Amino acid sequence: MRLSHVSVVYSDYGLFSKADDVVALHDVSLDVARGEKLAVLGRNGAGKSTLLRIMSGVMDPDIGSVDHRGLSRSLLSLNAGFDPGLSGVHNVVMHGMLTGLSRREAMARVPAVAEMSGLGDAMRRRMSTYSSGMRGRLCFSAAINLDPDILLIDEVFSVGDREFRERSLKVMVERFRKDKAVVFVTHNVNVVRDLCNRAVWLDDGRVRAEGDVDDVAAEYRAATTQTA
Amino acid sequence: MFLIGAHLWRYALYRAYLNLIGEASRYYLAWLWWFLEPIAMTAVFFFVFTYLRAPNVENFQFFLLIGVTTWLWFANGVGNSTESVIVARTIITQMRLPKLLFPFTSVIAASLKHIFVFSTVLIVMAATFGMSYAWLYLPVLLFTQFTLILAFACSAALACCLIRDARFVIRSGLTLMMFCSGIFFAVDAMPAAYQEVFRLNPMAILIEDYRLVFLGRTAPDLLSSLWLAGICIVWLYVLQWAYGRWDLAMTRRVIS
Repeated sequence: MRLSHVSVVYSDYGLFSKADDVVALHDVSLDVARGEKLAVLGRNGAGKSTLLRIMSGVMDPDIGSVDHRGLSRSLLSLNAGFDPGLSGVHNVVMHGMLTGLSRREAMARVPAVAEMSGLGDAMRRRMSTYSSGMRGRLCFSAAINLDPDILLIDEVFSVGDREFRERSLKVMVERFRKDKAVVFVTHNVNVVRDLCNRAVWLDDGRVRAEGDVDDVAAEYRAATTQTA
Repeated sequence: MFLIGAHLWRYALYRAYLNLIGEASRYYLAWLWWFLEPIAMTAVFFFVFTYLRAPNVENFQFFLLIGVTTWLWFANGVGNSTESVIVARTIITQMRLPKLLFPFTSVIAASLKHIFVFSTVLIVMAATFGMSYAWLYLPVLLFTQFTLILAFACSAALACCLIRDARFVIRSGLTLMMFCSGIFFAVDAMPAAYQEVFRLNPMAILIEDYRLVFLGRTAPDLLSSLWLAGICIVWLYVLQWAYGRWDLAMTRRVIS
């Protein structure tokens, strides 16, 4: 997948509101090769989620171009489009149906998701009763069961207990071994250090550094320590 | 498949079913409200027009019931669809889907609810007036109304997503349509000069047709009904193009 000189601007509109444009991405160019594991580092508001939306095809850039080369992409994030008014089971089924599965096929995925998430009987409860950790576990477990060419992961390890984090990391490593490209967005450098072979540091919508994970992570850490 | 893929129709149907279950579980009287809402609205209009302004209509309670239930299907379908794309924000930011899916789901939910209400109307009419051969025209009227609701719902959802202020216009438009649809009066009873204006409202034509079938026990104007369905289907294809044309603009509006 290739992003060339991508810029994204969010505009406010309204008769009485000031023209207050927010530049989410500014002239970003990136390549993601087959099988590559790319970490995208950056603080909140750096443009990481917008970058994933552009990569997943949910949005098109205002300037620049994206070449997906016909590869299927799946975005894995904490909200995952789940409805808090529905039970965990129903959300997993709905999610599966949206990705093209029949209801029966989507239903067949439920036991695997229940086991992976460790939610057990809570799967039958409405999601509005879940803690943020439980929601994260369900979203991760539902999305990881899909098999796209490029997996785009948005901050999924910021919630959940240590046991789940270790279990999901194990699953991730298995996935990483396959010939799949993974783009991993996070502000937690430690999580991606063992998993990724390249990193990009985004700051205010611009690429500030790109290259070896340890080098980029060191630069990112130095900058955030300085600011703090 | 019609306008969206077959798997998305299946999703919309299942989602609409779950929405109804979820909606019912939020209220103490649960699904009973599906029946109580039209009964309460009929009772209010009956009280107002019987005691405050005597109507000159035979079997006024049944006349009202047909008007109210027909109107509520339309109003619920269009009303719930208006912001359906905006409230689907979490899904839209997650995957790229045809956004027609969201008003479709709302219309299907309103239609599933109407199946129960309409079945009750059929039972009431059969018990009071007996069945009639004119009932054979009902599937055509129901189909026409379904396409009409879809066309209005998808138009409202598109307008409201691109320009949020549209919801105020749509809300006022629905109120105007309600008062001009002949729920509580017969369009025939209006001065001749106004009748043609009232019949520009497709809901007025449909409500008249249902009353002809149930109370008049005669055939409705089938040709005008089929014309209406045809126009709605053509309009839905125009909307399919418009949704594709402004898909990314809608995503931006939903996200920002």
